[in-house]
Amino acid sequence: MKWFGACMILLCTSWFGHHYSMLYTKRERQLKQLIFSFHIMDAEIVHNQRPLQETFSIISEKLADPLQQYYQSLVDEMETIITNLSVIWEKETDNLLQISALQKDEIIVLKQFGHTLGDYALIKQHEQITLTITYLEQILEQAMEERKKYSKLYTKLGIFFGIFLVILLM
Amino acid sequence: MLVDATILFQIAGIGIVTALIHTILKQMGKEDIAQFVSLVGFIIVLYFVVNHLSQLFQQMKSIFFM
Repeated sequence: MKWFGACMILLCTSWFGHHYSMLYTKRERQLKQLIFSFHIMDAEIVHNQRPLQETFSIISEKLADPLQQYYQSLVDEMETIITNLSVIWEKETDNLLQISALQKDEIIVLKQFGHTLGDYALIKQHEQITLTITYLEQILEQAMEERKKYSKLYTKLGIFFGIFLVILLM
Repeated sequence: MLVDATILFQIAGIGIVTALIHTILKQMGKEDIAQFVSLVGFIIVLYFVVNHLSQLFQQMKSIFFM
């Protein structure tokens, strides 16, 4: 029983460490998907001149969760609620912070972009989208460095903390 | 003797693991947490040692003042 308990403690702490390590990996992947979604948005709005709701629907079909859920919620809210797009965008972006591995920096960039959406002519809109993509790419570079630095360390930290607890409770 | 050997290995294990956790936290840039972990490890080992020392003195007391 003692060994079983020790294994359970070790497994739990290792899982915690692995979970925190995976957050860095998920953040990087979701940032790449977010940049991809903005490229699609640029193409659909500026070149194909589609309305926003249709654009978001097309984007949500091409992405995986949680960004797929984010864009789909935008489409649903635009259909049902009659209010300013920037209000809907801000609300859904706040939700995105809860359901994804994205952090405050990229959420602030998204919120800033939301204030410009639908307010400008096509050329200005294209510039805004390009600027947002540039900001997100800088954040992605930082996220990649953080993943390389911290991801493995958190896994090891979880394992060693488990060993520490096992030795302590022996 | 067996109990003494176990406590030695326990103290050694706690020391080694505390040092490793300290190194990892320092690499992550969280030096204050690393210092805190070292302090906690030291306090735990001190507690074990003081406990055993106290038992030793109790036994010596019981032998000499029988």
